[in-house]
Amino acid sequence: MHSNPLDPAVLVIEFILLSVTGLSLYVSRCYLPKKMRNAYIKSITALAAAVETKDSGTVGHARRVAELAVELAKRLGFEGRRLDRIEYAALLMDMGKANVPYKLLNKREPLTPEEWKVLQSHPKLGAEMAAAVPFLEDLADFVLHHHEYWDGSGYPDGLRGEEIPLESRILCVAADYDAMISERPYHPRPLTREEALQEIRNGAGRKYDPRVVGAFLEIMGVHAIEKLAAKAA
Amino acid sequence: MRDPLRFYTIISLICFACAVVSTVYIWHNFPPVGDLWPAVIWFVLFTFLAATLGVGVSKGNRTVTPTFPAHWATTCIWGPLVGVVVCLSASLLAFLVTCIAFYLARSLGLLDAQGTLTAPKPRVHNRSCKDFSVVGWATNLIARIGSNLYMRDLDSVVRVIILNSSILTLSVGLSGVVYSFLGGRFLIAPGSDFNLWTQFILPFYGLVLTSIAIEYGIYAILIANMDPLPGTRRVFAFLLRCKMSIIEDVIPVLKGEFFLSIVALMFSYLYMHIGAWGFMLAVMPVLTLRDFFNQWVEEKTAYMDTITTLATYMQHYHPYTRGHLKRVADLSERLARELRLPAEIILHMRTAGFIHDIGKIGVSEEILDKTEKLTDEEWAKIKEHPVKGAEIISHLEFLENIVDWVKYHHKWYNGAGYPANSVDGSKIPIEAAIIAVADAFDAMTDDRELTLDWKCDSCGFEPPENERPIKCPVCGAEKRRIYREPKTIDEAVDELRRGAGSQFHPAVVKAFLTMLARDGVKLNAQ
Repeated sequence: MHSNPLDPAVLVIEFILLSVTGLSLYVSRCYLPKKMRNAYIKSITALAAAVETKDSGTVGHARRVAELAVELAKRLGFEGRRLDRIEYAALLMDMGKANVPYKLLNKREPLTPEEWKVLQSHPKLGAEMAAAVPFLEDLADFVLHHHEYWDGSGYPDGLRGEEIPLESRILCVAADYDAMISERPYHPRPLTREEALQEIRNGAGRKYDPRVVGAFLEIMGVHAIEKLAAKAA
Repeated sequence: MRDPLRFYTIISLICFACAVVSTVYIWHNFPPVGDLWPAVIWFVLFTFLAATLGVGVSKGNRTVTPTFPAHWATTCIWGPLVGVVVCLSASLLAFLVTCIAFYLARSLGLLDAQGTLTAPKPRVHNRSCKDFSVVGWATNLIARIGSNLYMRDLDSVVRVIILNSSILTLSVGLSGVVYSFLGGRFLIAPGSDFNLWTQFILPFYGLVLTSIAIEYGIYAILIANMDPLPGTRRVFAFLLRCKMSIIEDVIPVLKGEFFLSIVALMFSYLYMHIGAWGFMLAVMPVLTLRDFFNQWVEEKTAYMDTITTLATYMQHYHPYTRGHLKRVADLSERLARELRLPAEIILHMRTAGFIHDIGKIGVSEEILDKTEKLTDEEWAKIKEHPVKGAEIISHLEFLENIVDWVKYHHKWYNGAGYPANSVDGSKIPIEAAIIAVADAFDAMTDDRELTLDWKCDSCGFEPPENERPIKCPVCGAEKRRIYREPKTIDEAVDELRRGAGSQFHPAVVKAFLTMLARDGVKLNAQ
């Protein structure tokens, strides 16, 4: 009733079916995620850039922080999805500033306590935004705590040490460094690279996680510079 | 047609009656031949695997509208399968029997698009959907059966089963009959005379087409009726809804189905030549393809959701705008429908209404909130917002076609308005004119402050109900936003009428007035 299983047409069909399997596996596991990831990054960058138009001194801030944070995370041994997540978190982290009044962001004088309170609400708003999106909800925590300091002096919750998610500690260092070296309304003269690095190093164990600072100085090539300086002396 | 549930029941009964008739017909004309039982067993195994290998319905704590990913993924596998299996089974009759039995079990357990037609949305926590182990699979199935039974009353479960199995019986049975009438052959004995094109491939596509037409025809009618569009005349609304559900749900699936139908064709050929073992050889390809479609649809939906949510969220820095944006979105959508715009545009109109003001993110709140007259400089700032908004949106891939709508939503019909020197007034896209009318009307009639909870911006103090002090009684901070008295609807309508032809597009205003006269101002927004 059936023909020979080794009928050439059957073999050809089986071959085609197997290639279809391989192809669809490749597309769904490698090609598609990569393509979607690029689309995501592009769109979130555009949205972050839109928020930055409010905050005159910070154009490109999110993008630069994201690059720095990814470098740092790589140095600290992050891989794959975790690396992507820190990139998204860096891009999203200041989106909460959409809800902070314009006047406050561009104020030259020191802020009053009430104004601080409003400004300090931005991680919370950013986290809320992230939590509203199923795809991003697991990074709400990183966004929420990106202004926490190692010794518990940060906001919003005053967490200290290891209580702060590692991703947030990384974001904190990267964001602070970028803020130091770029022009802001409250410090019109930005620090030089060396001054900023010194500042970050001084903050190790006080504001920043020493481990993250170590990695940060490494990628900034500080060791090499120090060695050179020692040789010269 | 007034009561959706009754309509649903009527359709179910009609389908059921047709299904019974077609079963009887097939029973008489296509008696079982060949190796019936192995085919039945393989078929049950195969479809069971394919259908229960998880379609994510809920992510985290948020339930995703099941119509999209679940629907697409299930139909992607189901459409061609129907075709495959008709060819495969030794006879139509055998197939019908297994199909109905399987479907009875499946309807209980698996949530799919048809299932969602009956009210309460089932929540299936389906974390283990990628779990291929037997335990994971069994847990999954039990969780689904349980939650479906728990979430719905028995009535609707029964209704869904009846409808689903009748639709499947009809689409399988009738398309099988079509296959046979077109000269298709079921099993090929070796050495027999067999023309590949006329006796297999052409009838096979006839079968695929019939089955798709029957299934989606019925779904489209049902979806249209369960979820009618408000605000337009009934027959038109009904037809339009059918068309929209075809564009939204059916066309994306069709692409997948036609691709899968090629796989199905090869699959059937294998079976016709080597029998039930053909199932074994084809299981992997079909499963990976299903997984692929599932993933594709999920990522696409997730992307669109993410970006729209973020974009909408970003402009919510005023709690007041939240209601305004939603109302503008609703009004624009209704207006677009009233103007009989193409269904694709109506689908985008909502998003456009939501994010038309996104450019305001770059304008200082002091200017936006100012109640006194604005200086020229401040005006210049405000006038930048449509262009800024268009620029932001132009970066978002899938929103490309609404860029111009956002850009010109403050351009007047007579060429005034802003951005200046951009386009001739008569060349403004009609969608932008729609947003302009909706925006203006809602801004005029909106009693924003009165409808919202009063809350101090700096200390968070909330006074007792109905009190709207200008200054916060606790910390003394001034309320940022003070609104003028809203216009009444009649005044706003007068304003629109006066502006027609100069500020507003006359056709849009006319449509708006007709709509208002017919439906009143009832809005969907809460």
